[in-house]
This record gives sequence, C-alpha cells and structure tokens, in this order.
Amino acid sequence: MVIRYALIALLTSGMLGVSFGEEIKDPAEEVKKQKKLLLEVMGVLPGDLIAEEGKEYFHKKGPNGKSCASCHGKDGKGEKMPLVGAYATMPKYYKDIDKVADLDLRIKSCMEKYLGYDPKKISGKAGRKIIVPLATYVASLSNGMKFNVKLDHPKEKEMFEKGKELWYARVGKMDFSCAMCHDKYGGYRIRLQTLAKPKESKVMRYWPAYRYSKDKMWTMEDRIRGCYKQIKVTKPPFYHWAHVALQMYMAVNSNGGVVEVPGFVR
Amino acid sequence: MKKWIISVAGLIVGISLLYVPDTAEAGKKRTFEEDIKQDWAQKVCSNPESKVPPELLDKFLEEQKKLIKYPKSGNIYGDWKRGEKLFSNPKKGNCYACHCGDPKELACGNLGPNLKGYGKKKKDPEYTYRKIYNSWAYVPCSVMYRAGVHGRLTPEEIADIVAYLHSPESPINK
Repeated sequence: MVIRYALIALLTSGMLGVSFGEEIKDPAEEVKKQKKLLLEVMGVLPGDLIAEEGKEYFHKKGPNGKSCASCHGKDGKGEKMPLVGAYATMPKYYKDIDKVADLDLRIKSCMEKYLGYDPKKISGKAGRKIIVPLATYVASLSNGMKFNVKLDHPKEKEMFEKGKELWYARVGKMDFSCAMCHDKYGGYRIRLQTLAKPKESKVMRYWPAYRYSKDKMWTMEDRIRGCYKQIKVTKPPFYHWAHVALQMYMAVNSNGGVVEVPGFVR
Repeated sequence: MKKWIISVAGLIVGISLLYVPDTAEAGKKRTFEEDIKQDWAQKVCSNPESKVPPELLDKFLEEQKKLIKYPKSGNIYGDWKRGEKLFSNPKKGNCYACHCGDPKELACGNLGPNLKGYGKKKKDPEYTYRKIYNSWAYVPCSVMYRAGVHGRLTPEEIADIVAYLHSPESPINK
C-alpha cells in the first residue's frame, strides 16, 4: 500500500513536470520513462499484477462450483476449448449466446451462463473488478501471436460495418468522430494529450492496457467510454453493441499485429 | 437568537427556490442512442475523407450560414476579459484544447492553428464571430465544433471571445 502511494506521488510529480513549464515531451519517450520508473520502484509492472489476479479468478470457483478452468483447462490450456490464441481472433460470433462478443461481453456471458453468477450482481462495478483482470489474463494467453480476425459469420460482417459507420460518424455537441481525432489528426495534441493512431499501432494487440496516468487497468470498453465522455456523448453502457462494433472495426485493422498484453499506455 | 435562526433558514430556503435546474439536465438521463443521432450536416460529413460531396456543397454552406444567429444587442464585439476566461474554460469554450496563443496557457493543444497575434493579422471581427458560431459555414466538416449551433456558447459569449481575439489589449495580441 505504501509503495502504491509513493508510486502515485512519483507519477503525479512526473506529470506536473509536464504540465508546468518544461517543453512538451515526446510521448513515446515519456511512456518508456514511466515504465522504467515503475519497474524500478515496484520491481514489477502493475499490469502484470492484474493479469496474475485474473489468473486467480480464472481458477476460482463461481457460485455453482465451476471455474473458467473447468471448461478451458488449467491456465486456459485445456484440450477442449483452449484459450491460448483466442483473443487474437476476437471479437467473434459465439453460437452459445448467438452474439458477436468482445472480451468483456464473452467473459460476462460465461460467468452468467456457466459459472452461476447473478447477472444483476455483475453488470456494474462489482463485475468490472473481476472481468477486467480476467480479460487481461485471457488476452495475455495470446501473447506473441498475430491478430487474425476474420469476418466469416454474417453477424461478424454486420458488426464490422456498424463499427466502421460509428468510426466515421460525426456526432454530438462537439461534432467529433473517432476518425477525426485518430485518423486525420492522429499524432496532434488536444491539450497535452497526444492523439493515438489506433490503426497504425494496431491497437487491439496491446489492450487491455495499464494506464499509468490513472493507475488503472482498462479494457477497450473502458477506453471507448472514455473517448465518448470526452466528446460529450453519453457513454455506451458496458457490454453494449457499440463496443463490440468499434472493436470489430479496430481488430480487423489490427490484423497482423503481435499481441502484447497487458499494454502500457498513458 | 430564534429570530436569527429563522431568518438564516429562510434565506437558505429562498436561495434553494431560486435554483431552477436546467430542464435538459433535470429530466431523464440521456442515452448513447439519443446522443449519436445525427443532423443532416453531420451525416454528410461522416465519410473517410470528411468532405462534403461536390453536388451538396452549395446547399451545405447555405444551410450552415442560415444557422448563425447574432446577439440581441447586435454587438458582436464583447469584453475581452470575459472572452479570455471562456477561451481557457474546459467546460465552456475550451478553445485552448486545440489552439495555443494565450501566453499563460502552456497546456494548449495543436489541432488548430496557433492564434498568437490573431488580431494583428485578421481585421474582420464579424468573420471571427461567424466562424466560431459555425465553423462549418466556412470550412465544411472542420474538426472545429460548431459552438453556437450546439449552444455550447451563447451569442454573447462568442462576442466576448471575438474581443479576446481582436482586442489590442488582449494577451493574444501582446
């Protein structure tokens, strides 16, 4: 705990250095610096700790006595339904839920359908506490593998089209779209925040990611909600189709990228 | 003593009665679906090139120009000091998020051009007013949000920002 506070203090002072006075730093260099700093202070990256936490949940029994490992095997390496490589093919259509799902939705569905969790109890913040670490762990099982999302099922194609539409849609009182900030003006700054270029960086390969500026692990759903908040559009609730659609669009654009989870971002 | 308490209580009740919540905020919560509904111009701009098709351009510009309204007083040149505050207020103009130019504002973005010395170069405050009110009337599909059209800034507030950008007294032009 003490280490955590010391860390926050260090990070905060680091960020204040950026805000006042000094010239604007190269964002990539800044990320490297923060990563190094964290490793020096903690000896481990917070994202890796969260993936470990996810691994514990993976093997922990749910209300009906089953765990993720009951179906997917120890460490997700079972003979039936292994999860090694699974993330690199997501979002994906799943017959058992008749839906295209991203990591978050797939995990939540499993918890409800196969582990006996009460949907009401895991739909909010309490659910995020389990789902985010689980998502981090499950995604990390694809580390080193290339992203390879296919649009074989009609519902996958439909989701991709919806995602593409949302990506370019100018909406809300700020008239923004994802594309304006992340295609056309990617690399420019809004205040001190350099706008990411998710297509160029093949973004899905390094999410879920640890955000050092918030000291939080985020899945792409958290990231998308954050973006909509900033452009003053009501955030889509977690597990909403818009998350799946946008991730489908970004995932296809991430194909070929090598998975490296947990990511480490500002 | 009792009287004192009653009058304070009365004052509190009085003040709370004066506070009328914003009708839009007060009712039900807005949803994502409602918020992603687009107006015609937003639909036209929603393409990878963020451009208006040539055959729609005249209609687009005409419609956007029609949306521009002026302050009741007719004065489009307000108070630069008020404008300065609006420029840097993230909840109001939020101009600094994309535009540098205010020497005090170091955390400014670079999505838009630097506005340092704006008033020395640009001599038409009415153009500035109209551009802030509705950027799309001049640059269709621009990344610059239509502050007046969406009511993010009132005509009077836009006039204050116009003064901030044009006044020789303003830090922008110092």
